[in-house]
Amino acid sequence: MATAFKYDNLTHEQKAACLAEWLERLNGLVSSVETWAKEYGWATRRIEKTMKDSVLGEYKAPALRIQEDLAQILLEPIARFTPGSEGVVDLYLMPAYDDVASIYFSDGSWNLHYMFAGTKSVATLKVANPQKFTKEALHQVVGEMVTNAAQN
Amino acid sequence: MQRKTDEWISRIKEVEREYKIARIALDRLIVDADHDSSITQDLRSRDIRKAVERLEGTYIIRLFAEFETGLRSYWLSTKKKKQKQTATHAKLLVDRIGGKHVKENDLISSVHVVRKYRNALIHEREIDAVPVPIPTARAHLCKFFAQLPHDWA
Repeated sequence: MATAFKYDNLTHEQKAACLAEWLERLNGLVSSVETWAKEYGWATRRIEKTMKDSVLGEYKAPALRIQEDLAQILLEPIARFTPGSEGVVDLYLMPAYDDVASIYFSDGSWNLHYMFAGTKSVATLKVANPQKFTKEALHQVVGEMVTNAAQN
Repeated sequence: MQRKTDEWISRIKEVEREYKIARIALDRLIVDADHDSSITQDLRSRDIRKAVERLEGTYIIRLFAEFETGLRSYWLSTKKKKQKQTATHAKLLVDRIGGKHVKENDLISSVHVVRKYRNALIHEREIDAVPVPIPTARAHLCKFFAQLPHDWA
């Protein structure tokens, strides 16, 4: 028998509040990344992704495409409910959709899970050593992606 | 607003994410069943191991189905009403759409490698089929799809 998900019993109002908070969080992240990208001179395009969530239903969420040199990067919201955090957004190398990094919201801030070049490799991005997601961290990740894109 | 190509490649990626979840769940089930055989109810250990062995193949079939449905949606949008009734095989879809929109011939060939592997899994034929890991298949299919026109009716 399927076990009930702990958020299944939220009231309509609780779900609406949860969705509003999640969208506000996502908009804040996308706006920050957009600003940082502009400061670095990278081209960006904000897009809307249709999300289908078993608790929150169907809704539109912001995503961001970044172009720097040969690298096309997508910042894409994945889920509000995820074990051990209050939301996850992924970074992908496009158009292949290769996994690059995950950004989890926990303890009131966005934290980057990424295997930086030269660091010890781990089985999944989730167990990669987390660090605060900052302008400098984004710059480093994008820099490594540009290098990889040039080599492929 | 999300463009049609973005929507379809996102759907292809979604299948890979589901595969990862199923993989974690099955791996966990094998470990837990060793400690508590009651959790598998009437299933036997070898049934679970068979499910594990076949999981990647199952998701290759789903991955390609998502890709093919997207291609067919685009292809139908380019056809007149009468032509829409004609069935078109996946091979022809890839060749025709790829020939028109995809710049790299290597990429078209790579998509055919995935298609042949899918056929081998479904029909147990295509003896020259080469197994393709899920991340590689997803990358080929997404790269191909990304070169289609962004939107269609």
